Amino acid sequence: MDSSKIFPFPLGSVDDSDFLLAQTLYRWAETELVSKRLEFREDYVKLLLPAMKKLFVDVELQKMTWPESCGGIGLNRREIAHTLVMALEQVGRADCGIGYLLAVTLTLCSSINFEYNRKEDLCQRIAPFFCQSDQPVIGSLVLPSYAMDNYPAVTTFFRGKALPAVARYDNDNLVINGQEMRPLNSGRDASFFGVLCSLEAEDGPVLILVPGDSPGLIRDEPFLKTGLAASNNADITLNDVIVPRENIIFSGEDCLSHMLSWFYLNISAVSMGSLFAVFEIIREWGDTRVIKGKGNLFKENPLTASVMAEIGHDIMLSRLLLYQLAAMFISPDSYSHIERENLYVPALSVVSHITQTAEKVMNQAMELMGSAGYATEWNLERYWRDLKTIQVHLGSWELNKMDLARYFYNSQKL
Amino acid sequence: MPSIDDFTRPKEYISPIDDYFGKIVRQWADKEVIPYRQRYDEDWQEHRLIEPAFDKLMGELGLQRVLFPEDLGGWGLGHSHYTASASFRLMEEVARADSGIAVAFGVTFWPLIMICNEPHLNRRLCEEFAPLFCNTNKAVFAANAMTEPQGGADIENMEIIKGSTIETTAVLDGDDWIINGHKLWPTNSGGVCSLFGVVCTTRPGSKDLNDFAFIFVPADRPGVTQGNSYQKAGMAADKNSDVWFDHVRVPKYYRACGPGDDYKYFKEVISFGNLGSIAFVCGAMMNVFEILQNFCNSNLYRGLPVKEHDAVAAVLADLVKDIEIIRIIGYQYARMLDRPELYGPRWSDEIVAKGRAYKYFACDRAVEDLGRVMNLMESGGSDRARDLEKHWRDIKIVQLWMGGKQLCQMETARWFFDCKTL
Repeated sequence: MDSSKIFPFPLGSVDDSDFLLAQTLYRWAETELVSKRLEFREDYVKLLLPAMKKLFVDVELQKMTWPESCGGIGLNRREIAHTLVMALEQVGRADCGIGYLLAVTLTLCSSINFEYNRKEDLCQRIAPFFCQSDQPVIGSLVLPSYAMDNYPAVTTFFRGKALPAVARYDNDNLVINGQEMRPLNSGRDASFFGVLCSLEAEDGPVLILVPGDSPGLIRDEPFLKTGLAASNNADITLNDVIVPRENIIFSGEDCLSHMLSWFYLNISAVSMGSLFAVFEIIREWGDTRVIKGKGNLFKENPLTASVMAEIGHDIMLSRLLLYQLAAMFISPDSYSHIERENLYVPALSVVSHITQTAEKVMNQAMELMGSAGYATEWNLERYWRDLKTIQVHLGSWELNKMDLARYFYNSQKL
Repeated sequence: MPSIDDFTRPKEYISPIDDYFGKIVRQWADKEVIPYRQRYDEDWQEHRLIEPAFDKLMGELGLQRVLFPEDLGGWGLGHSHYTASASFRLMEEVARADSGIAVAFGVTFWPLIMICNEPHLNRRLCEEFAPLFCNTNKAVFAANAMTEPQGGADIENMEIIKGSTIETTAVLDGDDWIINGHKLWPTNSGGVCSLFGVVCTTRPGSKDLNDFAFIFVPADRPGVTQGNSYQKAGMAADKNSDVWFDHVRVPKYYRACGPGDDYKYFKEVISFGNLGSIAFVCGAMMNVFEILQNFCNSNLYRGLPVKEHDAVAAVLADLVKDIEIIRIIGYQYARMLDRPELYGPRWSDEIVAKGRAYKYFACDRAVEDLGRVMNLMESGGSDRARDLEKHWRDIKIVQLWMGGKQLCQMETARWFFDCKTL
């Protein structure tokens, strides 16, 4: 049962090819993940990696946003926002971790190949890795984080947090240094990292593309974490890593905000997919379990039905928000007070709302299921762990709210 | 800087052994558990890392003996005025290190409550089972086999169901009970249990309270089978599995309290389950406080420790406010269980309902607080090395067991509003 068909969204915003892609991804999920989940659980090698290979390579999602001239599929305009959302919903429904990797990878790629920041030279050099490889090519991002109390003197701060790395020019190259940085994902096996750096003579943050095989890039051992088993994550260190100057993807706050806006849209869609999965689990529970003795189905009890109703209600409203956000990306001119740089605020608002709603929904669903809620066999707890892990990677809500306050109230000192 | 010992304890009525218990368990926790607990999740089947910690706590320190009478090798806690408040401190300290260990340790007392506590102490069964727990330096586990496949924790919804959905049967055959049935989820199953307390019926479908039976079944009896451990979101130290009883024969006197009284005193087991749950939540939150203190001092935002940011400080305040309240509630409930002459019997509907209310209040607050704290710590919140996410997973489990939130809500409403059909 594909629950994504139950929750309304604007049909006029998608076309037949979007539906076709969603159907393909639904079949991929059933064949590669759902049917094997009981046997392999979260096994990276036996389950997740083969499923990623199918998705990234065979279904060609890693070629999606690269220009046709570079061997890609050419979906590199803002008009594909709804296509991306539909696709990521399906992947997130199947596995949040794979959805998250795809979301980050597409974000990094879009910062190079989307119209808002098209880098022709980088496209020509990097696209072949994504478009010609027979293995998944994973992108990752290293974003600002809290500084430690022993932070190096050279540290530069961006909106209160430390930029993870420092770059300097060396003739036609850049030399980058950063110690024990935590990427958003896949520190062990990402092929490319977008590392946010401080760079001499640049005021704002600079995103630099660092190939995973660069000399001086050291990957730590993978660390254990709450969820997202598909992300084989580890801290990385850059010791005098040298890349061409042309690996600068962008500099300045505007482009960073724009990239983050796409990231938030993608993550919203993945989280939405996880909500569909949770809905399917709880619907089956309501159809089959009894309460207060024989014959009283769970869904027919007023209390449990009311909690289930809240779950449906929250999912429905979240989806409407998600598609509304995608529409803003497609035609910002159609919305009052929405300009290119301002997409960041609605995107941050929507992703925060959807991930927080998802946390609430999953908590409620687990409450309804009692012990089955935390049993691996029922899968619900996996979505709960995955979603929470995604949420913490968005940054602290308390501090993200400062961005919203700056926008809405013109706060100057936050 | 304040520490976890600066959260309020009701000093005017805590047990004289409260500090002693606290001290020895904290030493055990800091030495035997906390250095190793990050690897417990991968040890969920074998318990190679976990087992030594259990042996130290329950066997060598002897804490598995505390309920039994002194002359049988126990510590006599079952007939003291501090059974509950001392238990609360014990469980809180263990849960600070690992709430999975705390539940496995605490549930060992669960069936024993039926026979070790006054006024329903069953001397004959105490004599029967005390050597199992008191004459060894190894951890020995007991379990309550309650939940069944057909209705989950419905069995615990005793006021409305009255045992009528129980499908595990006990049939008298001469001087023996013959037990047949299939149970799910007992803590301390999965092969580690030595003694089960089995909730069963002597007449399937009956709502006659005399037919509700609580019968002890040693796990090595022919016909008892413990399945493989379930894999769960957390609490690796707590093994759960299916358990089958296939024509298991035990002596007639293994019934804990007898017709009517089994039902009555089983509700006391529920009360202690609620108390334990609050203690587990409180202990885990103590450790969360310690973790967060460290995090907020060593991580900087705008050049200052994170704790100096006003919006962050509000989250920190919410956390400690809830810890303070949960601990006070926990001790208050323990006091209510310890002083039935003031508050009524531990098995009364009132005490059970109030315990349910306290339990779900504590769990709801903790689940929300830990979610916010994880979020505050950003990627560190989901990093196992920080130890925080473990508590987040474990606390959710505490919220869900014993019938989950909805059963707590119904029992609470039922007593306070005199509902007849909930």
